[in-house]
Amino acid sequence: MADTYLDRLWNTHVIDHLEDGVDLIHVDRHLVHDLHCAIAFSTLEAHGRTVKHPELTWAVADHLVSTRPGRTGTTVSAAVELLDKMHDHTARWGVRMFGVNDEAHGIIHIVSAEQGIALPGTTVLACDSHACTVGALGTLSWGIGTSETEHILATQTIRASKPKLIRVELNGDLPAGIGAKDLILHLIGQIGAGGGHGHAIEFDGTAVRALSVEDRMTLCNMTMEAGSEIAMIRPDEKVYEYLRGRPLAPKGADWDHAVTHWRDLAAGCAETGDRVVRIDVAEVAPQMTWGTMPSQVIGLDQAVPDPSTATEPRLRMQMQRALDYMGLKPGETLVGLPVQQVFIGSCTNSRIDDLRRAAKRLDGRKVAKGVRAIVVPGSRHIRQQAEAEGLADQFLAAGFEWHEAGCSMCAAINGDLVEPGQRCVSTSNRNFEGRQGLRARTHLASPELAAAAALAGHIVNISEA
Amino acid sequence: MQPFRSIHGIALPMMVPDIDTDQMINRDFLITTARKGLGRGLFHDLRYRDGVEVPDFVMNKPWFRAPEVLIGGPNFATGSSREHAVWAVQDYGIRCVIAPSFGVHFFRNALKNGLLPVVLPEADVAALANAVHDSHGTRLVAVDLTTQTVTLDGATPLGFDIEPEAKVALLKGLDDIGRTLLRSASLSDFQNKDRVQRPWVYLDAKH
Repeated sequence: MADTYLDRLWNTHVIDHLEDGVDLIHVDRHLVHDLHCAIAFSTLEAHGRTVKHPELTWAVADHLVSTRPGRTGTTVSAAVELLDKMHDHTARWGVRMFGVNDEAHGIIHIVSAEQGIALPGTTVLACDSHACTVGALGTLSWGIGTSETEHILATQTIRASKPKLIRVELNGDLPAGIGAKDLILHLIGQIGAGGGHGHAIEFDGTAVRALSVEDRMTLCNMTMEAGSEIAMIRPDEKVYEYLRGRPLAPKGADWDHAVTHWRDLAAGCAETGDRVVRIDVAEVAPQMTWGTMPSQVIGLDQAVPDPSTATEPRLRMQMQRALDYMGLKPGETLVGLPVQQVFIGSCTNSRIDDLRRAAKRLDGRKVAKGVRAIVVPGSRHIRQQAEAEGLADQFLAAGFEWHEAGCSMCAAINGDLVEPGQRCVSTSNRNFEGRQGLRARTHLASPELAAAAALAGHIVNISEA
Repeated sequence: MQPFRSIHGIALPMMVPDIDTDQMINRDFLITTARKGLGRGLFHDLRYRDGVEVPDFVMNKPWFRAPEVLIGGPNFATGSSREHAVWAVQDYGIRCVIAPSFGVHFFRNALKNGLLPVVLPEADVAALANAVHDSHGTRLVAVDLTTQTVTLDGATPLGFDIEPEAKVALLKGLDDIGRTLLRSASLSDFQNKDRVQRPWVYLDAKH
């Protein structure tokens, strides 16, 4: 039987089979961000160990940095030490760091794609659970903790067990106004917060092939929220076009050689999985979360679910708790709910296509009174491109704040916060209790829905607007 | 890494499904240069409201103040890969977490830090949590890694599975890095062959 793309990537990276089905896997690309960097390097040094391949690790300051226009570092005083150590450690070991003053600065997974660090067929490990984002480029990529980061620094390898595979086939034509964010939220709602445990997710199908490479990253970004830490899409010509000429992509004869290699790698793979999920995208409505997990999501044409319909008592309690936290009642619709904040950004939805789509909703209108709406591009390059295209001016004219790149109100540890009790439509990836701020009420949605909510001052179903 | 052999202590019942890492350790405690001292941040926003202890929250019950075991619900510690969630649990004094299933990153991070994650069937975990809750923590829970058993005072031991390699590492407090470095020759062999196949993967030290 033919092997899957996952089989191929896994098998070609096995250095040794260890005990119990654990393999020692070669790490081709390794990225570390500011929250983990100092502790990982400090522990490594304390144990007298060295960095095996500093040229294969990149460090990005994104979680802790201010995104205020004109920022020079962080506005969070406690973070100064972490960022200083990050500069020291990376300089000492010869690791390339993307700090706020770097022309290529951005969010870790966005920098990884933009710089051509993540390449098809490579293993890309990053100390962040949304490392799965770059699976859209045909990588084998997952997120790790600080101890595993340290392990990679010291050995350029990781110990891991091969996951099973869920093949998700998305076919059909996307309705107008429906995009990758709606597709992934819909999928998470279908398979549940733990539905992907122990599995990688491979996306395929005509609707996936029709997506731009950037939108594929949105799709892959959130498989983690279904419990699946690996997302992957077999690379195709769109991916090679996306990567051609990127700073760290191969050049000249190396490029031709690499593309030939990638085409072979992606050809003739078994199109199967331990589970197969098929979705007709023509039936997907604009999606928005109503609860405190990404899997608590509905189409905007649906009503907020009733806990009394849940079969299990614990599930009922969980739903009720989410409703109470979100200030919602069963049976009501999300459409029309007043919002006080809107966040457009994060590694999920801060690429140029996202900003273009959000800007398209503006149409000369203004952000509603009483709404604070912020746009945080995923990288300096995206920010500059948006400025060159006039998008920044449109956002500013409409009354949005136009920020510098960073994780901002997604990780919400850099000082960008939703105020207590306020309702925020957010293009980010997590709506956990308190994620965006103490008692913040987060509704995850696409950039289109976020922009529409900012203008209206309440949640709007754009398919009816 | 501190070795884990066996413990016998108070268990904290928190059988809520899908407890996430953001609830376990919030932004105010993430910004740290040390693994130690995070226990005070564990479940902070559930323990305190406006700086005052929430009396109904299980961790604030006088009889659950010094737990060594945490009993969690399905998909326990879902969410982020931040290892701070593990460090906070450990710093609070907890050595073992029992749940029907775990968030993938928490599970792996726990093993790397000597915190034992035990998976048991949901019905068993619920029964354990109920018994501990009803006894106000006076029925202690024993966890023995050598025999791979969890035993509630006065109850029959429950067996659990653990990968043999992870078990040995926990019992001996072994560090993965040291063991992997012993395989440097395998790494060199792999890279030498791979360089021919995929030269573009190996960048110059200066890029």
